[in-house]
Amino acid sequence: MRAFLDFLKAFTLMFLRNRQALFWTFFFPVLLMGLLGIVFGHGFGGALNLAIVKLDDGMVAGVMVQAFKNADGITVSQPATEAEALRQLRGGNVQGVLVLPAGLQRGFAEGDATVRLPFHYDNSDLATAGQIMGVTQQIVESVGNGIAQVQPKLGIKPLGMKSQSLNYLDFLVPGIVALSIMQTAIFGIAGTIVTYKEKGVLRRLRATPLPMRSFMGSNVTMRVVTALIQTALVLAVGILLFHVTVSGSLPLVALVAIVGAGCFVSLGFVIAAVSKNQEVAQALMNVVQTPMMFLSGIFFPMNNAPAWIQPVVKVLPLTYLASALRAVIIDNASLWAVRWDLAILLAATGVFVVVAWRFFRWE
Amino acid sequence: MSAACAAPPAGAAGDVVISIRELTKRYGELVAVDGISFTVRRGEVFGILGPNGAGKTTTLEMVEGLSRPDGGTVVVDGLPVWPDPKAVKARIGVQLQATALFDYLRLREIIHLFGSCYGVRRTPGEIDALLERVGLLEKRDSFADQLSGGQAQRLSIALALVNDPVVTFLDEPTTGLDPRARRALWDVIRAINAAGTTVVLTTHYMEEAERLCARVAVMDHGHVMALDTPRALVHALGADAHVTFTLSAPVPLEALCELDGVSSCSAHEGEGYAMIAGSAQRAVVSLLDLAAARGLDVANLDVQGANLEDVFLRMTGRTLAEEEERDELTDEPQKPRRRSFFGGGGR
Repeated sequence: MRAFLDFLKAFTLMFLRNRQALFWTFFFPVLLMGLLGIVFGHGFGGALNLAIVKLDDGMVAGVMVQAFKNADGITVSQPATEAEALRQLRGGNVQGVLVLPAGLQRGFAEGDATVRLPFHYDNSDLATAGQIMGVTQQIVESVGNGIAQVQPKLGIKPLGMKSQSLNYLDFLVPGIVALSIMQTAIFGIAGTIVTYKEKGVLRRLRATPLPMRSFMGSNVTMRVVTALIQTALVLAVGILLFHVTVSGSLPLVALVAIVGAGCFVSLGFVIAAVSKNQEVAQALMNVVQTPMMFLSGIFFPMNNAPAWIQPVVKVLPLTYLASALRAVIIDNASLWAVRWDLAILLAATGVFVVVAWRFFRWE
Repeated sequence: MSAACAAPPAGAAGDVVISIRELTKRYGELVAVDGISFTVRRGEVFGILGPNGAGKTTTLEMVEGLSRPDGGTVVVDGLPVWPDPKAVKARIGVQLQATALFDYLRLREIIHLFGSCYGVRRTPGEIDALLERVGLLEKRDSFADQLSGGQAQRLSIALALVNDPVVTFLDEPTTGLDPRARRALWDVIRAINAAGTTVVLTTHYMEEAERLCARVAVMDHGHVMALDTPRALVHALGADAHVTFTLSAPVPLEALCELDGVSSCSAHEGEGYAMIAGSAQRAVVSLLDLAAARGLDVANLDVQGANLEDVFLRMTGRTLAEEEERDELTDEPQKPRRRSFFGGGGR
């Protein structure tokens, strides 16, 4: 325990004396956030994303979904539940949610009056809201006409909701937190361990009676604590300088950050395990981190990305860390709501630990 | 130093502190260490001499608990090293070849940290005393990468003493150092030994083995070729001295070869004569008598005792000098301290 604390202190000292590390760890994420905020602060514009919640299995619902899929200028996703769809709406991933309620088929066939489908939109961005509502209304009515041949049998019931006036920075901040956690954990572990391996430090330490778990444990602890400090810093700067809205519970944010850091620490160990020297480690770190940086929904939502890339998005651990952090930070999601993201991160951690254990060489 | 020399080594001096039996290590087809056996006595400086690839480092690694032997046993201070080397690791000090240390830590911090690895907490006073022993006290607040090659080796030796070890292992401690730094390090090693620590060192420098070691094991191709005091090893060769000289006028070679104490002789065009003498004293006296009788002047007289170099040459057919040439003679600081953002280095 004594040695663990001494090494923790030593790692902290080495980190604090390394200006390059300090720059990348603390200054760079804030800088990145600032630059992206300035450039993209007003959102992307363009693509309209609609979530359709299909709760009825009848013909009408089927035709409706197909009609939206065929429509130009609008991208359709189909979340399983209305709650999930609303979460996406609040998170800014979609601009509208159309609900095809249970009993739609019957209501359409039996009723005389127009059936009005609930349509949720974000009234904090009225321009986009008007755009997507118009398109949705048009398609819904034309589907109704096509089936019934009678004057409007189908319409929409607009349900404005107030998101916390989300802008791009609200979306970006949790992504930057996730990205920083990943980089700190992977660089911190793979970078140091491979350097020590190459320089013979590990060999020298193994010649002492110190259990290697004390050494590794203090290194890991140091990186996880650094990741938490980064999280706090990025959130603080986001709130103070860029006026982003953070509505989630901070203990839950910390928990998600720790789970994420654990996952990337273990990925760092995988890289350290298979790398003989710094050059290999650097190359592997780039190979692993670059796709995650751009395909995990850090800087922009991946819903708009082409379908063929979605499987890649789905295997990147950072996708789940970003998703969980975003849900908790801007959407005040509960632990239960992000359970699958966390479960996937933990499962990935398990796989990484096994691989690292299997392939690790001390020299 | 001299006061320390007078004190006898702790423990029963002269008894066995390391016992190696039939020690073997294979790497695939290659037998790096081939069933070697020897013992190291408490309080001595024991040298393992041999060229690169002889198996010196592999042997040390098995004794230090870093590399598991494929056969044989090692007992250090009464404890078997294998299967669990932890207890032995606590009692020995280790200096490995080419260990770089933590960047961004000061010398005193590194020593404190390594003390911690052995479960000992060194006070600032003890840390200073340890740095003083290796002549690095004035560098206590420097960073490890600001040290010259010789200083880095001395730090490495300080770390090999941090736990007050029974035996300390130094793997080629002076390789790559210039002659002055090498001699300074010898003084450090002698002082460590004088303070009661058994020292086992590997080297491929003859002079180092001769000057420092009480006993020397000569290794080549994974075998111990010979083991004795440097003097006995040389004596066993039977050739005591090389005598070289020039004469003011030529003499027949037979006259020289028949001189008392001379076992063989040769003439070298323009460079004079060389004799190998069983007794340097008798050979020189009879040479001077011969010169006086013939009215010749003897010049450039040089008498050189046979050394371990000759032993090694005799046993392996190679000279160690071939090995030395490969070492750089440098004692420059390794690299300037990096202080820029993008200067490199891991985090």
